[in-house]
Amino acid sequence: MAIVVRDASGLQDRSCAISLLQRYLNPAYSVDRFEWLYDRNPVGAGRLWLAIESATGEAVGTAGAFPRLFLVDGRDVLCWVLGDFCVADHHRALGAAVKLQRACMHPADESQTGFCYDFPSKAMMPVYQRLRISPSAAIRRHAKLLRADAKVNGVLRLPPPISWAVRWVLNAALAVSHRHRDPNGLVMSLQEGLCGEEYSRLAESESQWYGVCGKRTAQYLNWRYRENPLSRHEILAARVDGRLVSYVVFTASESEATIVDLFGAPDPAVFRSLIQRVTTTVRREGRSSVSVHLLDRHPWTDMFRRLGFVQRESSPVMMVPAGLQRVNGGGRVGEKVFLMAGDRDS
Amino acid sequence: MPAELAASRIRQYLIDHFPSARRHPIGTDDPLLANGILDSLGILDLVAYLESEFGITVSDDDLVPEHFETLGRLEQFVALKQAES
Repeated sequence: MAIVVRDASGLQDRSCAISLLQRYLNPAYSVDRFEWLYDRNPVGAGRLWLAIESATGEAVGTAGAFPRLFLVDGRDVLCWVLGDFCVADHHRALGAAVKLQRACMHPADESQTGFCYDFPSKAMMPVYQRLRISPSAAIRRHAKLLRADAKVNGVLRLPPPISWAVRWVLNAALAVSHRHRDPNGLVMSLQEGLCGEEYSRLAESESQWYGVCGKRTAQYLNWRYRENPLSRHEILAARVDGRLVSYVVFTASESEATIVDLFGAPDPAVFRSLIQRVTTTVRREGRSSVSVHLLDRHPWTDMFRRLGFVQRESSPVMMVPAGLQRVNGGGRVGEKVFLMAGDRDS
Repeated sequence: MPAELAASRIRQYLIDHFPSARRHPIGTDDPLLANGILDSLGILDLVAYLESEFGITVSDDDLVPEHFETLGRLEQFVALKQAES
């Protein structure tokens, strides 16, 4: 049963890929998501590959790569985030997965590509081991408890009157810990509608502080967060004298919120205010915790820790220079790369 | 190397390195993948063992389920690769 991997970026392979993704990755995978991710990205079209069992013609796996613009020393560099990876249960002997992943490492002309990056699951690590690619960094979740209700109910199992009292005291203590004085003149507001050109100007002026980072143009932010069919994102903007200085992007499920991006002039006081406003807002809405994913060397790790965020699990991040030959030759990227959850594929 | 000896060594390797291989004796035709004795990480470890123990080279094309699905298939695979080299 030989496996061949072929480009499947054309329209005719879409239903096959979506069907595989629904079956082996996520039953909720939709055509909407696919079109948003592959067709509407302002940086360019996504790439897709299929692994085919040559004897039967059966598609047994799929993998995708999605273009992102990064700023490297002030230059725009085309990079690719990898995703949409799945292999049929009956082909989990690494061969199909390794071949698919090798294809992903060559999404475009190497002379025009900076690097590929990925946030692999634990199950993907053997594939990278086979490709002799080691993690470039680790991204860690940091979480802050906002309400004690779930913990008290789930862990302590106290009788109702005592449980209510304990929850009241703990929730009050957690609320007090959120109080914070905003810098003078700082005005924070949720972004209504699409992001305007002020976001592109902010990216131009402030990206220098972040080493190698995604280019957060208004067009990109609108696609990534405003038009995302998978989840609703809020953008809390901080302005001084009407000028955008920083913003935070967050999303929330029924019980938890996640900060997916934090960007702007590196003023810790402004960042603290933004984070505090997010935590206060989602706490009032009944969420029990808020999380943020940071690279272990992220400059704001200490700031989040001082704001009550506690280290949780970490997972590897792979950053691979374009072209696998360079990787096997010992090439290494990632020393200065700035990534947050918003830099993932979706 | 006689095929039975190869099978015996691979069986011992599985017993030594995979807890689920210790629960029941592994027969020549017992499914290793379907029974969860081998997963993708396990295959990677097993491939490294096969390459060092039997002096074979396992390519990406060789990483297909039929070579790993039973001890008998593994034995045939090793014999085939040894004959090729």
